[in-house]
Amino acid sequence: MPGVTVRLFADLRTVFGVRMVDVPLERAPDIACLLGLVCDTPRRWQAVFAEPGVPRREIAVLVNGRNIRFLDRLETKLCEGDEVAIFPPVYGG
Amino acid sequence: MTMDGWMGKVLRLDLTASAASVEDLDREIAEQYIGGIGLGTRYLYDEVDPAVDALDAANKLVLATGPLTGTGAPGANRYMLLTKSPLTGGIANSSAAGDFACAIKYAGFDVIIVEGAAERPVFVFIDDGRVSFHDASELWGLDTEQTEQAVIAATAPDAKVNCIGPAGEKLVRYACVMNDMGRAAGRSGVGAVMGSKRLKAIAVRGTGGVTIADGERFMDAVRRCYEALTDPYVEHFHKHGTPGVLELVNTYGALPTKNFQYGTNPQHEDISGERLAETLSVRTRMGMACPACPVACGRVSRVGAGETATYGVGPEYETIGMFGSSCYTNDLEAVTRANFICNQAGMDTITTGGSIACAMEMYERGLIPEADIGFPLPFGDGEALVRLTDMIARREGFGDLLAEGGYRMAEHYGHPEYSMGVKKQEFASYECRAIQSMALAYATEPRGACHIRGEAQDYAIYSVLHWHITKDRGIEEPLDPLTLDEQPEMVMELQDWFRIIDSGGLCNFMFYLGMDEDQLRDLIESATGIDMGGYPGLMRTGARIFNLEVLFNRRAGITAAADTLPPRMLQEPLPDGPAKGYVAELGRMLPPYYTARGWDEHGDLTPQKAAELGLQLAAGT
Ligand code: SF4
Repeated sequence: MPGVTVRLFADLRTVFGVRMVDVPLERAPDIACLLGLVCDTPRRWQAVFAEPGVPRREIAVLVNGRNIRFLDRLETKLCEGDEVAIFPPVYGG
Repeated sequence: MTMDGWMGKVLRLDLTASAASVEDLDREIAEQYIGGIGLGTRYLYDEVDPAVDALDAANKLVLATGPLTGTGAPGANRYMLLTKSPLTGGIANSSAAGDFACAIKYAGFDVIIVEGAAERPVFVFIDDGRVSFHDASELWGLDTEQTEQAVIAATAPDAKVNCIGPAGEKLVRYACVMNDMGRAAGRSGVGAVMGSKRLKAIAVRGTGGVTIADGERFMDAVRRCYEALTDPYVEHFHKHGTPGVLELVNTYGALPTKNFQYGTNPQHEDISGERLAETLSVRTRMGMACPACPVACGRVSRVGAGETATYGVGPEYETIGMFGSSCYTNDLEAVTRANFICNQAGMDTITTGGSIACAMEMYERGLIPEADIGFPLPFGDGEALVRLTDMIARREGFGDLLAEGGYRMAEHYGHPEYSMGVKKQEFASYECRAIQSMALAYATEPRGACHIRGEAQDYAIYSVLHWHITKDRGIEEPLDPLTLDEQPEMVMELQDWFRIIDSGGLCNFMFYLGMDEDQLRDLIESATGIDMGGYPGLMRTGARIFNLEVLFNRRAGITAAADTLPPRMLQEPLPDGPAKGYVAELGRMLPPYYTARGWDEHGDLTPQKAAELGLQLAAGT
């Protein structure tokens, strides 16, 4: 089942308790649906969203390495095999 | 005249004559150049003929603290080493944090200038105001940890030491200077210059303190800085240190892989910060901190087990990126072993890793015969990596050629195009086709390819958006790393802004973790009593320093033609990752960058701009 792969990084791994989730495409045709699906507890939701429909400014959501801010934001459509990465702020190379 | 923030004194060490002298710090110059990189550049510019051979006794080594170093402001614990670089032939400035930097101030000095060369190995002991020269023949050949211990044993238990290891003694062109058991003034070969002077170590014991002009304002500024550093995500940085970024860099397609042939590494999880924390790190709960640092990003790692286990500081992200991904070993144990060799020998891990990655690619392409190396050197061979790192430090066999740097080695075989760097200094661990601002920053940085004198990665991939550079433009969200919009001006401003951080004597990390330009200005002004002229004045000072570095380079024969990138970056589209198909668009960013700098079309400072920056001394050069 290819679907969409969601990878969580850094401290979000602790919040979500997993590093990776596979989601069938029909349940997550776009980023809004996908985030709604994976942020299924108050703690998870708070880690990603500032308010309903608005992800926290410091959270980076990338589809195949492109930040959704440079795509269609929450409306960014997803395709089979897409990789979605969710990062809290990390600094320091 | 008494001074606050600054100690008001410059110590001159003449190694040829084994003599020391003390001069007053010129207050006017201090106000114009602040300290650290600024003040150090000014001394270098005034005193060193840029045409000298970097390893000649006529070259000098300037150690410059900032007015905030040792004051207790967060992260105010750094000094800068400046000299003419044996790697690039231009200006070298390399900074390190630690007790050693603070001790220089506590001993009563802002700047130490080392000149001449000793006939036999020496170390210098600065005991508050008293200076003594000591025979270091017995120390010659010792590694940096042994040296530090031996020098402390020979001087005072509370002496703080910087020193070179065997790599500096053997004039490896990218030897570094180590202090406080594992902190490095890493890049551009400052350790080779120290070695050429046969100066093994400097020990400093300082028992004084730094006076502050306006204590109340200063303490208030310090409090606000600490408040800015309470972001919960500071915790991640504390826990994982710099390696915590590796997976993000890979996701952006900016992780150098196989000597910058690719921007993503399919095995990145094997070398991530988390993997490091799970496997080799031995102090993850309580990291290592430099003085006055609320973050404590350092960590200790262990390789091997039982009696053969070795412990050391690191590895940092840059080291993992180069040894782990660019050399494609994907093996944290090999990375850490090579890192320990570099620390002990006193050698820059970035250029070591970059040079070996270059040799690996050339070996695989059949451009370096195996007979020259003495063993196979394919990408991914961790054992060969560790072995070669050791050979470089000893200048043994093929290591002798690599000790000249990747560029000179590749040129020796007629293929300098495989050396990934700028001005003969290797790139840091960021692929610049995937971060366009980085391409411009790499190309224009006076000390050669570098990621910390103008951190273009910060706003491009690390979501650092609290500086004037983005705020004043109304930028509230991370910038697309592939965009060229506004990059020429923004990179210029970053370079100038980082000059102030590096002049004040603070750790860069404080700034992406929360502090900003106004807070730094507040600290400098309240500590010294000067008026920097608001944000515009601060940036003008930054520009003055940057331009003086460029002027040093121009006089050393490094023209704007050196503001370029390897053909791979300019012509070969990146084959993978989110930046697939992109080349570095340097040609589109460079002319507007020169215009923004107020330079002519040849990349030279105009007399008008020089006058505007208060660089009268530079006109006509
Ligand atoms: S953040 Fe790290 S490098 Fe900077 S001062 Fe703190 S411990 Fe030292």
